[in-house]
Amino acid sequence: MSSHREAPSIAFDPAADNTDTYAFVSAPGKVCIIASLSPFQLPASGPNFYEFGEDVLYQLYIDNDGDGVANVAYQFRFTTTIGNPDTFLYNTGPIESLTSANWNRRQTYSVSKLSGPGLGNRAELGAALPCPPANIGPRSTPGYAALAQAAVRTLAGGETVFAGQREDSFFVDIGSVFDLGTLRPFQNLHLIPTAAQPGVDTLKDSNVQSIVIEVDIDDLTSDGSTPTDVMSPTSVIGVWASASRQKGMVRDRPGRPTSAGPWTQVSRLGNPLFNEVIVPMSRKDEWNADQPSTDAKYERLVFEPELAGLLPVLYPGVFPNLAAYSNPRADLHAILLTGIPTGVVPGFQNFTGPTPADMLRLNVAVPPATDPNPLGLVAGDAAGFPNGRRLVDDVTTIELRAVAGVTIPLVDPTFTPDGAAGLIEDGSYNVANREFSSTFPYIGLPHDGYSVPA
Amino acid sequence: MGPVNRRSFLVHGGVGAAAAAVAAGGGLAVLSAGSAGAAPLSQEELAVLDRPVLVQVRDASTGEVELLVGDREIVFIDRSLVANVLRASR
Repeated sequence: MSSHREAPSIAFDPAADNTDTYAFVSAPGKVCIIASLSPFQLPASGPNFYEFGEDVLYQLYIDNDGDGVANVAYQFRFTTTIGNPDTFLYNTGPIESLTSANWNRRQTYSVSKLSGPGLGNRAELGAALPCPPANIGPRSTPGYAALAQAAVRTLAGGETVFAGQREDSFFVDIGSVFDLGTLRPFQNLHLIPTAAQPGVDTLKDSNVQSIVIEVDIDDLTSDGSTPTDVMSPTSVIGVWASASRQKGMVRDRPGRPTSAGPWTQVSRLGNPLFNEVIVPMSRKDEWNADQPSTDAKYERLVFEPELAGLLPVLYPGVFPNLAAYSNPRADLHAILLTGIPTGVVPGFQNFTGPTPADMLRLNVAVPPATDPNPLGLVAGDAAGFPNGRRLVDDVTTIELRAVAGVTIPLVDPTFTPDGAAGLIEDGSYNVANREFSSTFPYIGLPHDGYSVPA
Repeated sequence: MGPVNRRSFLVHGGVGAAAAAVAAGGGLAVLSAGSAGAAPLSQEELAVLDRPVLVQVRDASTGEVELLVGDREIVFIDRSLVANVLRASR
């Protein structure tokens, strides 16, 4: 969760495993997109600390005309260098700057922008950009905040960029959810009841690798404008991320494999939890390789979500109205595959047209909230999920409630949600466990391996 | 289609392999077995081989071969090559 080891194949390939994608209006005229990868990083992970894959192509996509095909893409490629081949150490003393001679293994990266028909226009935005080191501990990486901030760069197109280790901003009670759909704190109502206990924030001590880019909105919209009319179709963009490996690989040299051939997508991520809880196990790898433009083949899974059928079974008598509801779930179809059309939520839309495609849909004309509500749009905060996705958004609770029927009345006023549906919560939400920043790169600093786990 | 028709093989070439082939008197050594009559590669042709080349037999029944080089994928038909590869694999 939200896409951590969510499919059988990618579970064995952490460097290419997209864990979360975020897209939000970060400042006037700016959109921030974050792609996090490499799930469940234990901060104490020496001697080989986590890093990006040199043999992975990381991409961020923006669709601005609603067909599920990217109109703008940003590509990231990483290079690793070893300074001292004769030591087993990641660092041979404190790393006090990005040019420290004590830092033995470092990564740099390049950024390219693709645009135009078939994304045939390519612009090199930056090369040899530094990643910060992993956050090792107070002796090896003192003053880590400044060290990481020194790795923030401005690209040739004016974009701001960062790539490196951060804390995992996603929060979820994984141990409970995947124990037969247990929802703490009311597991006493479960088919197999246990005593009620508060939720557990499983990922609160985990790190990820994050790629963060902040772009002018007019670089992404179809007409090159910075929209101010929320109801205008040109105000909505679709966003997703992917990771690809080359088609062929052999292990004929000691240590490192050799790859060749075209890039083949092995992971993608738009809406949180889509592949995790919508797509069946047998098709998750296929979904990771597909493009949003072909998501029509997963439409039935959204109209008839397995989880909506499970909740009344797992919680007997708790969801009678949901159990009796037999219409296709047009509410989930809108939230996940087309965007919310005009007329559903007063004063808001993020509809991209009839093409079903799993993308985060962000209406860029909605300004950032001064006091963000983690429950986002369903709680009246139109700057939050499913209008894009912010770091603070409690997407698990939002989606669980939606699946349980809270959003059905948006498209079917005859339906009355069960009382429990609006009370469901993931149970792990605790803002005190995260260090969201109001400035770039927004996502919190990584936990250091000396202190965590304690 | 029988199982043998989808049988795949990977053959690797690269700077090291090319150099070895030249030292051996020309030709890609790994492919030379059973390739009687193939003209030796020129130095100019060998110079192109500055990166890994992976070859996969996609369909032995049609002789369809897939070549992976750099970030490209090239598909061609060579029944003779496929026959030689299959025989060498026995």
